[in-house]
Order: sequence, then C-alpha cells, then structure tokens
Amino acid sequence: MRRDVLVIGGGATGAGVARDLSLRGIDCILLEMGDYCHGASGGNHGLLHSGGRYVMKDRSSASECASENKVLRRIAPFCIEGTDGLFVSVPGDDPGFGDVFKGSCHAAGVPTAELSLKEALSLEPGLDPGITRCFEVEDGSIDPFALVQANVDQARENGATVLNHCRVTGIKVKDGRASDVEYVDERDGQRHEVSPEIIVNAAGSWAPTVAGLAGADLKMALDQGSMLVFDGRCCGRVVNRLRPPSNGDIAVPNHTSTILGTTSRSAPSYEGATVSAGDIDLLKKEAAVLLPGLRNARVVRAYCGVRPLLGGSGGREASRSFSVIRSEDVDNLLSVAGGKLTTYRLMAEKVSDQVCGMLGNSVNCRTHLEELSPGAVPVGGSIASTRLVRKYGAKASSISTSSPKVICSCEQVLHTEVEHVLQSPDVLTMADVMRRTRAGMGYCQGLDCSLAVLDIMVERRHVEAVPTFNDFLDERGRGQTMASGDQRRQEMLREHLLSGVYGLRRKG
Amino acid sequence: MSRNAVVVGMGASGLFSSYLLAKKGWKVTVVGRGTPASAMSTGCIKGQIVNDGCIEEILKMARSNGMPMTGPGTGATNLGTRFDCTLLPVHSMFSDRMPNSITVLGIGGHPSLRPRLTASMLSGWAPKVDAMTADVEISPEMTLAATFRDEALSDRLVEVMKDAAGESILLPPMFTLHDYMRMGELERRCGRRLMEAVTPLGIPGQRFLEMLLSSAVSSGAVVWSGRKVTSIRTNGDRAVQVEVKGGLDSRRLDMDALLLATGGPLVDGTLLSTEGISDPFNTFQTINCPGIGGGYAHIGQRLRDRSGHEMKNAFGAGDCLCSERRSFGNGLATALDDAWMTVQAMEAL
Repeated sequence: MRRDVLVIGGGATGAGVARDLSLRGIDCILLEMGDYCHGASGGNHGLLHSGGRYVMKDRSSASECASENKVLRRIAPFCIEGTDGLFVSVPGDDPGFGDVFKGSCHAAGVPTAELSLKEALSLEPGLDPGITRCFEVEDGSIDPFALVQANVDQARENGATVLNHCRVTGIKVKDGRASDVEYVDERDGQRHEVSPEIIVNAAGSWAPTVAGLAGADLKMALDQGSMLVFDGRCCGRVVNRLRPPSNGDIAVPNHTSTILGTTSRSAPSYEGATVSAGDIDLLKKEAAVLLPGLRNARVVRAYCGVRPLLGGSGGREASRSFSVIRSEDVDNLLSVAGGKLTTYRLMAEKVSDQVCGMLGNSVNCRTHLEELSPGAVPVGGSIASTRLVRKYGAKASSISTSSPKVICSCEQVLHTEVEHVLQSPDVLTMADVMRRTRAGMGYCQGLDCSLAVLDIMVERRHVEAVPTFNDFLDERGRGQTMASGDQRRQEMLREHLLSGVYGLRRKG
Repeated sequence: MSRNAVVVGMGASGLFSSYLLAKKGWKVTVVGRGTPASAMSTGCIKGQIVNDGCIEEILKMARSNGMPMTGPGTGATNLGTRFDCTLLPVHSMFSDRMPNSITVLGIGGHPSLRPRLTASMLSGWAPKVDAMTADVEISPEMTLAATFRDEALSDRLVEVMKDAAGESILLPPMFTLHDYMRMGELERRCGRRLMEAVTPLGIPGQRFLEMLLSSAVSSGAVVWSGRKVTSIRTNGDRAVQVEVKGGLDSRRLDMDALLLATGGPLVDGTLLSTEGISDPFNTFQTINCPGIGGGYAHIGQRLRDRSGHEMKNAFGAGDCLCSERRSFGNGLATALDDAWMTVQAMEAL
C-alpha cells in the first residue's frame, strides 16, 4: 500500500502529526504498537503547563508552554480543567527566589500575579498556613487520553488511517531511502506492508529502536519520573513549590485524584523504569511540606513515566524542548525527540512543516484554529454529563445516560460507556477500556468493575475470559507491591480474592 | 465452680472457641466489633484441618443449624473457576456427581453471578454449559426467604428453572442460614439439581458466621458485640482483668483465662504497617515479619508478654497466630483448627 506519510507512534506527538497532516490534505497512516498514550503521553501528571516550571532554566520551553497553553484551552476545552496553579514557598526556601521567578515569568511571557498569603490560603485552604510567598499562574489539568483520542478522531475524519496495536517490525532501506515498512496487526496477527514517501518517527522512548530498524542511529536520553496517585482531590489548583525544579514539588488535581510528581533520574529503558520505595517516601515527604494533608492521604497507585529527552544525559538540566531530526543515513526518515504534552501541537506543526517542505506541499497549518471534538459541551450542567464530555468530547452525546447502571463505583462509570467504547475497533483489551472510561483507575484498582468489563467483553467480543483478565491483572499489578496502609489492605483483599478464591494468576 | 473466660474477637476463631468453651462448662463472655474476615470469606473451608476432633465439631454444628456440610470436594465459584475444599455446604458441592449440563442462572438484584461470564469460564467442566437470566428481581437486602412469602415470585422462579437447559443449575447465593433448607425444596419443585456458587464478600461468609454465633449463644456464651477491649490488666504471669468499652459504657471483667482472637491484618483496630502487624493492646509480643502474615506469637497456644515470659492463662487463637506465611484463602481452616487446639490447651489449665 502506497502512502505519502507513515507516522510511527500514537502518543500525543504522533497523533498530533497525523491530525496536522490530514488537515493539510496529506495522505497519511499512523501505526501505534500498543494503545494510544502507551508511553510518556499516558505516564505523566496530566498537567497543562503555564510555563512557570521552566522559566528559570529553560526559557524557550516556558514560552512555548505559555503560548500553547492558550491554544489548547481554545481548541480542546472539553478535556481541560482550567484549575490555575500556585507557586508557593515555605520557610527555609530562598526568600529572594520569588522575585527572580517573577522577573523570569515576565521575560518568558508567562502570566503571573503574586497573591497575598491571606488570598492564597483562602483559595487553597489545604496549604500549610506557614507559607511565605505565593504566585498564581495559568496551570491546569488535562486528560491526555481524551486529548489524543480527539486528535486521532479528527485525523480520521480528514482521511488519515490510524491503527493502534500495530507494531512495526521492519523497515527496508534502498539507496539511502526507507521504502517498505512491515508491521504486524495484533487483531489478526498478520504481517502487512506500507510504502510511504516519508516516515515520521514519533515513537518517543522507542524512537531509537524504530530508527534502528532502518539502520539509522538516534541518540536519546531516557529520564524517568515517578508519580503518586492520591485518592480524591487534595487541592483545587495545581500546587507547585516555588524553588528551582526539584523532586516532589508539584500536585495536580485531575479527575477524581491528585497526582503528585515527580522525580528525575535516568532510566535504562522504558520497560526497565521502576518506582522505588525511596521515590514514594521522598515524594510524599516533599509534597506534605506544601499540603500537610497529603501526609495521611491514601496513595492509590505509584507509577512512572519515561521522558524521551534530547541527547546528553537527561535529568533536570536537560532541555524540555524538542527537535526534529532528519536522519543522515536514511533521507526520508524524520525523528521527533523531546518536548512536552503541553507543546505537543507545536511539535506536530514543526514536524508537519518539514514534511510538507519535503513533499512540496504549501498548505499552512490549521491545528491551532480547528477545534478538537467540536460541540463537546455538557448538557444542562449535570455532573454525569460533565464527566462524560471530559472523557469522550462530543461523542458523549451518543452515550445513553437513561440507565443508571454503574459498573465502577470509584469512578462512576456507566455500563453504557463500556458498551460505547467497545464499538470502537481500537479497543482490544480491558486496559484499553480502562484508559477510555477510567474503570479500574479508582482506589479499588478494578476489583469489582474489572469483572463487569470482562463480562461485557465476553458478550460483545467473545473474548476468552481468563487470558483477557490475566492480561489486565498484569497491567494493574505493576508497581502495586509498594502499596502501604489502606491501599495495602485493599491490595491484599484483591490478591486474596483473585488468587485465594478464584485461583487466578497472582499479580506480577 | 465454673471458670470465667473472656474471648476477644467475634470472627471464626473467637466464636468457635466460645462455642467449644461454653459447651465444656466455661462461663464465656465474647467481646467484638467490626467485620471479621470470615464474614467476607466464602463460608467454605479450603485449607486442611489437621484435627479430626475439629472437623467433627464443625460437621455437628453445621448439621444442627440446618446447613449440612460435606467434603472434601470441589465447588464452582461465582466466576466459574474451581474451588477445592476440605468442607463446604452440600449445595456448593460439585464434584460428587459431575453434571452433564449446567445452566448458569442470573437473578436480578444478585449481581455476584454474571451468567455469561461465569458460563464462559465454566465451559470445559461439563459437556454443555449455558447462561440464562431469570426474569425476576429479588432484592439482595430482602433475602429470598422473606420474598418467598410472595408465592407468585417463588412459583415464577420455579417455572424459570424448569425451562433451564441444564440438568444442574448454578445460582448466586440468596439464602441465609435460617432458609438454607429452602434450596432443597426448590430443587424438588423444579426437578433440577441446584448448586450455589462459592462466593466471597456476601451471604455465604455471613451465613457461616451466623452459624458460629448462634452455636456459641445457644451453648451459653454471653455475646457483647459492638464493644472494644481497651486494656488488659496483668498480674505476674496472669491476665486478670479486661476493660471493655462500648459507647459511653465502660466496665471491667475479671477472668480466669483470656483468649485473644482479634484476627489478622484486615481487622479493625489492628495496626498494619508494611513491615508486619503490631499489637493493638501493646501488651503482648508480636512477630515482626516481612510482608504480611505475622500476628501475635503463641507457643502451645499461650501468649508471651513483652519480656518474653509465657503467660499462664492468656491464649491466642486464629489463623494469623500460628504461621508467619500462609497462602491466601486458607485462613478459615487454620482459624478453626487453631481455635480447637486452643480450647484443648485451656481445658488443661
């Protein structure tokens, strides 16, 4: 099959490129080896950056974040909560840092305003009453799964082919150009081939592997960050520590949880990244300095994301900016590296500009103008409708809310939502259902709702129950041996039931 | 003169030992609060029971409460997986007469059994397995016994079951202890063998606990539920008095023997750390072991005090007491077996 462009990788960047190119009328296909947001796009805070976090060390990233923040609020309001954010210092932090921060925000074009301590405490009563300074910025939280899905949907509406669960297994190179690309579709287990003019390698942490298939060399530093998910929203705004970027200095309220981040250290590979008990203690201790209530709050889950950073050794000093690299070995291979969820659209634009240049296409980018999932407005302001719109955008209107059957009491997921997502050929596994509906992300981590989802999948998809369920248990079990306190009790109950009563495979 | 025993904990080991002690002539006061792990269990005994005397007592108790148990044998869980047991209620026993065909019957209001899913997991057990959903709605709060006064509903259920393709029908648990015999009655009326799915977190576990409680009470134990032991007074190597609080009420009980059966890591009041379990009373020694599985140490069923001296009249019973490592799902057997042995040790006082 001949195509103009093949995009490899279905994270925010890849989906953004497919959307951008299709809006410019370019024929493209996207292949993702797992589900969308399989890598770093799914393993992050869900923070919509104001840019404040980078003003000190990485001014260009800060400016990019500030302008993209505005664009995303305009084009994808349905999956964004405009919570705003605070930068807060406590006794012991450098008292002069606030002024430097303020100046740097100004220079980078990141809107900020200093709040009186009284104002700050009344806006965010969970803050430690001893805080010394507080600045407000335009941070927010974003649902990366909904955002990426909306990009995929719009790309498809404009003629792109987007396939998840398709792993690229080989790239043939002839005369310094990639010619045929072979991939395996997990749906049928068959090998397929596509022959693109240009390949965009947006595989994130796996980009060096993809480049390697074409015999090209790509240097990338993998940097892992650990995050904790707390049950419930422990703050109304994004709360940042007002100091140079460091471990455990941000809490993001997102959906029904608060996500605490993050650490930074180099990772051997995406698969080799793990959360340590030390990471968990460190994050809790640091975050409790700002929000003392977190000390006793329940940690539902710990996970880590891997940042694919540009060159060098990674870490906090490495730029959070991005670049598009045209391979010296393979002329029609473009690789994207670095960047942030907040700037995904801008990255996609730069990549697409370059692709257009190579194809001789002169149509301008429209991704900052076209709304994603247009018409995604909650009906009547009901909580159910608001929740559905945040997850599914405009498609929420096709989900019936007339039946009150809830299959997940943690996340209040409706039976009809599961039925809805199972209509999509993208959804193969229980984890795919979870990423779309959030069933299984709550504090019970899928104890009850997983059986309901499995039941519906047996009915609709005729899947084999035990292997389907075991796959999901493996996915959810990752990292849960570290749970403590109430969550450990929950995990023990879960293991007792699954392994003791049902004799199913123990989590890994 | 009869001896006074205070038993702390109203789970399987606390109630079973209260029952045995009361039968042997002890004046027993059993104090407890919260939901014991056994109430969340399947009410089927999975692990091995070493003492034949203990098995005999359980069988006797089950018979006299109208829920005869049998075993060893295999049941089917509400997910359709196999569940091998040492002892289980007769209607959960699957393996004595393996059916040629099974219908998995879903009942509105009893979501623990999802007929399609369970049937798909069960396939392979019997040549023919199918799923069916009864067009009846029975509130899980109102057990079938209560609704059965509604003859129309009962008749409707029998009609539905007569239409089942399978020679055996797998049902979700709907019967409390008092009404367990109704399963036999339904079985006769519909001409099918009825099997209850082995189900955790529901009626079967509560029913098993109900059986232990009613046995303890009818053998003469005094039950103080909803109360908490707040302190234990010791005198040398003897525990002599406990303080019991319930709401504003607080009283002291003198005793000749104390039995702690406060259970494992899921119990209210027991502090859990990632390292192990610590003693809520801060009186007796605990095992500090990696992971979960520890509890109070006891040697020959007797507790030791903080300095390691054996207490003459303070005992422990329960599944967490006697092994540092146990596999999930075997707790009920161990709890009952350990309670039985503790009562033997107390008798020797």
